[in-house]
Amino acid sequence: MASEAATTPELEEEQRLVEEAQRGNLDAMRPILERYSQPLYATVILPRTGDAATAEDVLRDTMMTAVEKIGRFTWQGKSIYPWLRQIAVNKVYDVHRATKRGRRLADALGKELADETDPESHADAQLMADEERRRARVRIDEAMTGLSDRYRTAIELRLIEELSREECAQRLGITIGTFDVLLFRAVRAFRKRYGERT
Amino acid sequence: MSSPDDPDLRDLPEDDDAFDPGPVPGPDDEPSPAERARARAFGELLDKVVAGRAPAAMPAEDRPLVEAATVIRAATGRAELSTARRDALVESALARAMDRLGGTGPAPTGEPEHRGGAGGGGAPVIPLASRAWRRRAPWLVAAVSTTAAVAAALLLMLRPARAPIPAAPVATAAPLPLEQRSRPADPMIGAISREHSGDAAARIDAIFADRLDGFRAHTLAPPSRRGSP
Repeated sequence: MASEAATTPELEEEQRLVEEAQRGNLDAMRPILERYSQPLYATVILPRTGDAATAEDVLRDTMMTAVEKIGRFTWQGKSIYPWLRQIAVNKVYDVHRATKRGRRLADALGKELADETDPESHADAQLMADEERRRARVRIDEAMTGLSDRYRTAIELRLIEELSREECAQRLGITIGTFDVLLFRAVRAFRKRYGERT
Repeated sequence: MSSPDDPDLRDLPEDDDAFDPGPVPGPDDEPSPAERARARAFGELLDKVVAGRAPAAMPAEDRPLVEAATVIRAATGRAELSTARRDALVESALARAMDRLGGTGPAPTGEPEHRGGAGGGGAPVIPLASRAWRRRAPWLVAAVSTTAAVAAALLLMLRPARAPIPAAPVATAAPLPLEQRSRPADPMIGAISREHSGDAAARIDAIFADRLDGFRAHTLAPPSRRGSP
């Protein structure tokens, strides 16, 4: 999807659907949810939960809450996406707070929310999603910079370029077993560095 | 309630680092067999993650690492939601929200609504199945199944008793010769004197030879003279 601001006809259509949902036809929310579920999942929820199954649950809860509370939304000439995003971030925060092991990450997430600029200053959902992804990529790159070259290469080949373990081992001139150990240590090292920033 | 002696009752660590204490070895450090095994298992787990089939259940110590891998993939645009999965989640969210709101608004349809455009016109959505029917259908199925089960039970209890089927006559076989029958070895061995109590091997050999003779006689005898033990 190109990074362009939402056009006026698109915003007008979105407003019409929102107002129809607020009049009682909740199924009018369907196109809105379908349009924004991907950026919510990929750039807001999954990077903060790290678990696909949990991310899907959070996405569904986010959409459910949005439908239930659509009556409280006030159209302000901007996309509904910032409002949906705020619900999603709150849901992620609740998930982390609910588990003892996630509490440190939840506290860091709360701090991160306070530091962010007001999401409603962004007019367009796609621009927000792109910015979100860019910031997540910066955080990943910062953590990766501190890794050894071999660890960084192992992560890039397997997790980003999605080469198979056999292809990765062949590219590096090592056995599959040695590559497994390399990748295992690389992810451990990355997690420790990524966790240090929280 | 925690117990240091029972692993099932131990308190879970509050911090992911408790699952992975200590520094990470260097890339050239020799791995132990345990680390090799764990690395292979983790590699197979990541194969499923990359293929979009991450298991919901996994060893606790692997979960923080799988999450780290997922964060990397999400930030680099490698973890997307499929269209089918997206539609299923949207449908589920709409259905649950409408149920919780007590039925305000029409039920969600099985097909996506019109996609924007100037021709929308605000026409109302007509549901494919009424919500009342959806609520009653499971109870109807349960009632029919229960009625069928009760009827079957009554039929079994009230059917007339059948006359017993006479047992087929069993052909009696000729009695087996002694050497083809199971029998104690005491008469053959006799009382064991103390000075010969260590000759167990010789006694076993004698019993074995005797039984082998019986087996040979059974196997080589004509079928009419073979019995069943």
